[in-house]
Amino acid sequence: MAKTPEPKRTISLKPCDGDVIEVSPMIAKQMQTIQSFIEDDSFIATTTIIPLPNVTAFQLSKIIDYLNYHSNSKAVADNVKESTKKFDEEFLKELEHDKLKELLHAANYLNVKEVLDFLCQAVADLIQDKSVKFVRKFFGVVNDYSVEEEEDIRRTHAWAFEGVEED
Amino acid sequence: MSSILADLSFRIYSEPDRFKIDHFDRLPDPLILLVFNKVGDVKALGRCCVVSRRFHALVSQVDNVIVRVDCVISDDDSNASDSSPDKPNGPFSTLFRLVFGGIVKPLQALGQFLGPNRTALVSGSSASASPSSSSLAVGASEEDGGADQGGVTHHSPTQVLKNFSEIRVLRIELPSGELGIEDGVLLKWRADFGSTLDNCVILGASSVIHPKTENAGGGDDDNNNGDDDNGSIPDSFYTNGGLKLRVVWTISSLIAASARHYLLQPIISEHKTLENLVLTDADGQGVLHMNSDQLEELRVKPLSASLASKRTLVPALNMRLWYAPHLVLSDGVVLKGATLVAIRPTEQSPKKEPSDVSWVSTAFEEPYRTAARMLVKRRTYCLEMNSF
Repeated sequence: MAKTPEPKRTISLKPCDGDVIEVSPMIAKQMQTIQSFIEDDSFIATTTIIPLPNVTAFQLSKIIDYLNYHSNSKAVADNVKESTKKFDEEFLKELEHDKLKELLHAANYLNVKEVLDFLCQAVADLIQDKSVKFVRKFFGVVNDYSVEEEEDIRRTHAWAFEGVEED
Repeated sequence: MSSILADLSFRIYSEPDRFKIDHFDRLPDPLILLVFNKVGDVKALGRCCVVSRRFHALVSQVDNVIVRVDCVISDDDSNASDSSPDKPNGPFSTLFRLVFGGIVKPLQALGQFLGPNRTALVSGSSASASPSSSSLAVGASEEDGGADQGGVTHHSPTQVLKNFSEIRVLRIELPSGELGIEDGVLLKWRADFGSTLDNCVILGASSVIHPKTENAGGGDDDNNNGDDDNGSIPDSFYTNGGLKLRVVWTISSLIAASARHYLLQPIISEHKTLENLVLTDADGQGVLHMNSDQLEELRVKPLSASLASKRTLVPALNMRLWYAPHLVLSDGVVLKGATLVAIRPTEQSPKKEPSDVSWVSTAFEEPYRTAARMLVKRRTYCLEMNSF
């Protein structure tokens, strides 16, 4: 944060369950939801605490970590790719399925495109080769097909089950 | 101050308001759709249809789909007993009159280049030199076989994509490139189609030599990149089969491309929302592109099929060829007998500035982009080809 162009100005964000977290305007700008306040009145945005009742301290700091890492590593060249990949992997490794989903919620609420894209891809990768059962469980979706309907739809989508283990 | 704060916080949570931090709370539809668009794979999406009604409805709105084709069913396989064993040779034996602008050399025997000798490229059995008549299958399953041969049910991409009504970006991936090439040979093509071929770029090399890891800097005396030859093609190229091989590569690539284009027709007519279509293969051998203008052109003006087989008629062509006996890429990889061919229909060629090669040098991904960029700086040879 030392390299922030406008040194003393930070945005104070208050998650629902923890202390205020200060972020640079550069980071805050990437959160569209926050950005709209900064645009409306940058004085108020820098002098008051913006409460985020839908975001936990954990989620907020994860999102900020991600943005910080990626905004710093963008400037540098090719050899960074490897470490970026490693960072992303570590980032996801710490997240259980529920946490991942909650973070997706938070990123959606704050409207941080970069994090949202990243997390959607992570979820997509996760469900890519999984069974219907897994996908239901992961998203907490209730099967609302009747037995006959499900059989029918499985039959018409038989091509989708080639090479997939049903559990 | 406190009133301002209250104001702000009110505005902050006014949007998706009742959402609580509760992982049982379901993810909203737009978010699921974002995830589905990243999934892309048509099979994974097909399974999501089975999850619930809501998921089924969301899948049909996905606009970015990838179809990985499991097998290409050639008509040659299915009617093996049919009477026309030499049908694939059809297009080869009838087509060409090649005219080399500027070089008058080796043209007497072109006809024979293109006939039976085609096997020089496809090395014997490695099949499917003629994707001339084939169909694609996704998720061939063994159930309810019935009339189908061998009890295997094939699903064409058209069937598989039936549920999708809003596809904008579609990528279809064949299990392998159609052209059986020998080990060490490099052959890549990229073609753009509308109703017919718009352009095609082919990059080939008779062998690819990777640098030895120990002495990456070594072999400096080899590193001439053919600079000492003024960019001209050496005489031996005409006599040792080098040229013949290039012609075979070119024709084979064009046949593969036009056969792919033909297969796309029903998909394009069924998916009006398509804006970008790519048909590629897992080997990275050939890539066929169609952008929204080209897709629209095909919808308005249907393709003309080749008489000989199930593929799009290739129009009369102007080709430019560049050759380097020895091309060193930045990572030390050496392409021997590197050849770049840029192809445009004769009809549209004169309008374009002939020296404009930007579309040629950007046709491929790295490191082949660099190779193409180096090759276009060399001497250009022009050829023409009749429609086939």
